[in-house]
Amino acid sequence: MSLFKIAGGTVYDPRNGVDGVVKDLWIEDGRILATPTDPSVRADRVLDATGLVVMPGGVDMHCHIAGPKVNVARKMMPEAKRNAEKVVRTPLTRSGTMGSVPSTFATGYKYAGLGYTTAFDAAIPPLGARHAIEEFHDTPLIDKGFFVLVGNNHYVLEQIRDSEPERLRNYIGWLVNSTKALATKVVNPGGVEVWKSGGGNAGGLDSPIAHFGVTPRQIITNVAQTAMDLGLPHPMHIHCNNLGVPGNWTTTLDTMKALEGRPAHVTHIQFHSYGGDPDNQATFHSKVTELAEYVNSHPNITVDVGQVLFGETTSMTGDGPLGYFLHKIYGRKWFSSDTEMEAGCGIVPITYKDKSRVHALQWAIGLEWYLLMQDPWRVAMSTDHPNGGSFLAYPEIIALLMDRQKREEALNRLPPAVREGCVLGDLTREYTLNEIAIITRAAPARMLGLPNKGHLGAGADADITIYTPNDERDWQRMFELPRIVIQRGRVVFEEAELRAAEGGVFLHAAPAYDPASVDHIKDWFEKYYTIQFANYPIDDTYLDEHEVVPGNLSVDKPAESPTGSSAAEQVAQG
Amino acid sequence: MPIVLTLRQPTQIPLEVDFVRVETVRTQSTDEVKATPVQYGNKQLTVGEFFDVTGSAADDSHLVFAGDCSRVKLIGAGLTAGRITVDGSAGMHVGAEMKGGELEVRGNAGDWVGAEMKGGRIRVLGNAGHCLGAVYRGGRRGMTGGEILVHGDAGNEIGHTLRRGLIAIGGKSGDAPGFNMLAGTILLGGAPGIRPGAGMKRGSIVFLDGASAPPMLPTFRRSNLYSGPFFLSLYLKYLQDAGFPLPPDSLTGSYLRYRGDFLELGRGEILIRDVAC
Repeated sequence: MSLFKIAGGTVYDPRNGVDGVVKDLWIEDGRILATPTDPSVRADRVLDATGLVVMPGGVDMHCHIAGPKVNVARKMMPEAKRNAEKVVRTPLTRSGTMGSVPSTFATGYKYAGLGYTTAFDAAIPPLGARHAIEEFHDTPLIDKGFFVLVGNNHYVLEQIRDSEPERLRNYIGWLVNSTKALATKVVNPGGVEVWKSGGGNAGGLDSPIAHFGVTPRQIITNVAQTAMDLGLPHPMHIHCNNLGVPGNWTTTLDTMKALEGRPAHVTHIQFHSYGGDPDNQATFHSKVTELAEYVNSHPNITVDVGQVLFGETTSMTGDGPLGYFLHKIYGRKWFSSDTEMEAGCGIVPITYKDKSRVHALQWAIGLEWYLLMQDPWRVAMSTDHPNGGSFLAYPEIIALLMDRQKREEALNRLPPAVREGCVLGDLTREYTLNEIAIITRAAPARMLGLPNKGHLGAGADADITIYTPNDERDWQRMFELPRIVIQRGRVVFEEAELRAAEGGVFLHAAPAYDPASVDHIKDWFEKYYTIQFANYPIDDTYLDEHEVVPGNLSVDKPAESPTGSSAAEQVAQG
Repeated sequence: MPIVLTLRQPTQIPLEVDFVRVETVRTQSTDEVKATPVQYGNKQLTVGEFFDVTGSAADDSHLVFAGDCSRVKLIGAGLTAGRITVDGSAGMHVGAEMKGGELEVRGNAGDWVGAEMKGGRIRVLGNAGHCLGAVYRGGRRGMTGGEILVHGDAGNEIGHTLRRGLIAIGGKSGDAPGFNMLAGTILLGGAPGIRPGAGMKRGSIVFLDGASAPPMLPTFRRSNLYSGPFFLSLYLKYLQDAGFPLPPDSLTGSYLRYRGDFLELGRGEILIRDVAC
């Protein structure tokens, strides 16, 4: 077995308390090795990282890069593909297309080239899981996985209505196993179901959902509790009701209060932090101060931002009524779909303009979230790719966070009224490299419950990004082009070129559930679905290289596999 | 003296010549021009393997394509200045996205003539295919400037999502001219197809031959009878001076005006030459 040493780099590994310390990293078999105590141990390969910045590989915890909605967005916008940068075939890599929704291979290449080695798609309807996994087969160089949509699922709504927490738990346990998801995702709880059953949206947290009579509040508390009880690596991942609507901050606050201390991750919270009157755009303003105060004092909640950047992009969401809302605002083309018993979807191209006061405020609100969260371990960097902007914009966001002057210059280019609607102009905080390492790697990995990601301690996956610092404090340039990217111990990117074009492991959870509960699910399923029950669960043979992420219950019971492959085998993989 | 690229033999496999640019060849030697890459099906080859190259465009910035170029695509695509003459027929996408200069096709042209064109002038002496001056699929804006004059017939979706500029067709035309058009002017001389102006927001579509005008869509409203609209007389005079074949007596006479499409903004107009006058 060959030993690989990265020598003399300035290491930022916040999870292990390493803040800019010059040290060596040892790698064997794709994992970080504890520094050998025997001085006679020689590495087979030594990479001199003197003067360079060494961090764990980036972790994108919330993006949209695979599955049916992503593919529809690609097909829906040939014009964006045609005019975008071309991804030309090389002897090593395949050709692809860019635009706001890159093709599968290009997605993998671009993430790796940016120093990101792990990414999670945040909204896959259970019926779309197979499609998402197939696209992941073609998304190389990153470890990946997804969250499965449950917040408008008919079986879930029925069990909540009938007060059957056992059935609910077993169903979600079975569903996570059957779809190979990592976590549960709730999108506009109940609202998508209202939209699907004849238009409209959910009102507040306590307005009953048609046909089911359950409220968004009940969905939130029940799913959060279930995710906890199942010991899923990542708690309920929630996209709150009323996304994008001025005045929605009260809904967001109510949602967080409804958790009653249960752990949850509130995603792309920028889109949920708006004050003002929905009927009067001029009143639109930031409510980050109020919301951040609540999050700061409630450690059960983590957030990612969903930063908006100016330019052309695509809004794609499991939030069907939101798609319609955006289509009505911008008059652009619109795709809407209804996934049987499970979910909805809306896709609309969108252009964020720096001349627009509302868009500029959205930009500012995102930055406020980073700067007003006292604990960087509870805020993750995201653009909700591609909803707020491309993941390729992360270096730009890093620069805005690390350099107050750059932020001020950017703010000066925006309509003056923006300053009145937010406190960004008063915020003097500048992120340190260590804090950047937290919000782009260590924190998202911890939030996702990935024990081997986001850090460089012994046993971690050897996902490492090495950057070249510069004297001009040009953080954007530094983060845009890593010097070397290592994924699971292999150098995949070096000297601005990809050195590998394959690999990447699929990560999923396998919570325990009662196999006797499946009969009830099957009876319900066969009454309503368009496909056969036996064809629904995805078995392990469908996966390429994969790993089960262990649950966070103290006693982790072996999972019952829905497809009959041995539970022991799955646990062994974890 | 122009530079002449003569296609040695007709090809069934499409040949894409978008790298052959007037702006470049006028500064190049014959050998350099011959070395310019062209796309032949899925292969990248050179100009010299298909064309004989003679003359020089150094003085007059004039490039001539000769031989049967009906499968040669993207002639003059992105042209910014100078002149291109196709002494025969041209394939698809001739003059696509061009910004300036002049392009003349003496025979017929394929589909997508002047697609998403921004400026300059294209003249086709024969017939043109579908989607002339149109937006490429999915785009928000089609042709945004310049003019396309076709002496013969043209196909469907003329000026799809047209934003600005002039399109004039002397002969017959296909279905749905001015589909989703945003603004601009389309003049149709001969017998047209159906559903003119479907989804148009603004702009003008003019049928110079009133006798063959198609039925209006129900989302258009009859407005009034114009006696010789002034803007139209300017256009027609301009076309007449340019040697464009106009129906007899076009410059005089009245036009019926329809407004629409009321499914959209409804600020477009369709003018039909009044047969009664």
